[in-house]
Amino acid sequence: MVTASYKDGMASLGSMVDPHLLRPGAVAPKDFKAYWKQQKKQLNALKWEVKSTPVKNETIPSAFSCEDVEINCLGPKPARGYYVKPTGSSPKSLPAVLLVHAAGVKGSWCRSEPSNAIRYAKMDAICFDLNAHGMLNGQPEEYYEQLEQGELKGYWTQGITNRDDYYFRGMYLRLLRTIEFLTRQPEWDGKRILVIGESQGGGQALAAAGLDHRVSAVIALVPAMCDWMATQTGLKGGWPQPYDSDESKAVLMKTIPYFDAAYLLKGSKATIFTEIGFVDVTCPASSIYAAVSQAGGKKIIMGVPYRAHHQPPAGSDLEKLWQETVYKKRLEFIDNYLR
Amino acid sequence: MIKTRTFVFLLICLTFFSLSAKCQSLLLEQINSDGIYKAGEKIDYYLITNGKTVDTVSITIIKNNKVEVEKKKIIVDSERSSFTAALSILPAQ
Repeated sequence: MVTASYKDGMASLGSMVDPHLLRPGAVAPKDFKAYWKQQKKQLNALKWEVKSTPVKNETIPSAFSCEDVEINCLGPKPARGYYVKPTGSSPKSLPAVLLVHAAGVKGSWCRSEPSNAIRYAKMDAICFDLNAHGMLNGQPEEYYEQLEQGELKGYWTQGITNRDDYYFRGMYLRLLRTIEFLTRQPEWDGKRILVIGESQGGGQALAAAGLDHRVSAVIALVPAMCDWMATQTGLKGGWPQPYDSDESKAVLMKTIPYFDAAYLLKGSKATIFTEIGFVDVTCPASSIYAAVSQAGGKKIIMGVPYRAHHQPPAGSDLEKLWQETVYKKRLEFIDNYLR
Repeated sequence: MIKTRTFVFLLICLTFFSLSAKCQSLLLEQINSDGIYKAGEKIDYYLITNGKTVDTVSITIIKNNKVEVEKKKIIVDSERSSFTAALSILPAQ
């Protein structure tokens, strides 16, 4: 990565050397598959319980139905989000889209919104907008404020010394539960499940592709949760860099690899569309290349030399370039995939 | 009334010039526009000034998102100044 600093500004640009050779920084634990098999067994043994409240207001177009959905899970929280579908669709006629969210708690980007799901339902899909934490939807500002300052403060390190307590276990189980919900919908075509997310959401999208092979495609934008043990080979792992925490490395190795997309992706045949920022220091390009190398399906990798973790600043020349050469291709992919 | 108009005019001018200056930022380019190279390949970077007046620019080259491998100042004497870096990848497992 090259940075040019001058009196009143800065410019950065990244370069990758042989990125196709990058591999995860460590090998997967021997009982990795067995662990997840057991987790899924426990999850599937749970009685299927869904609470659904119809959402009716002026923001929901008449051609769509919207529900605030809660699906029971192993814990600590149920899966919660908004489910939207076009009304009157024939059985087995529509693809499913699962939207997953970036890191944080109270930010607008962290919350499920009917409008997010409506966008894809308008493209003739059933769509679930899942919030990452099993939070209630549509609550007053104080509810999210309190969660961020209290229960979910620094959630990415919660339970880091035990794989059964680690925060990402609950997050991934909620993902699995929501995919199951989508596949139970009579409108689902039985073939296509597209998971879309950015950063933590991108990490969840990759995890979904690895954990449930019914996921047929993912859009993982600057994904987190990739190659956490990269430090072992002198590279930097993806957000939240749990291996760099102060805990004993031996203890961490018994927890975090089970939730690393680099190992979860092994065996996935999903098509992966990923955007990688070469000047992204939150989710380094090397961590994403290493993780995605483990997947077995088609890969569409959009490496962006000038992109940091966030997309280029609004109105800048780089944003125009990004819109034309990167963002447009993402939209085309989604459009073609759901057609 | 005239004073108010003059003030508004000056404010608009100041905003315009300040925005123009802000929009003129330096730009970095590299020899391979996709940013991907083979091991050992020399990488040429270009600094584009976009008409902005700068004398010197500090260049920092960081490897693997961690290690600062080079820090230098370059004198900007044209619209397009160049500098070079040679990076290699850590061996894959």
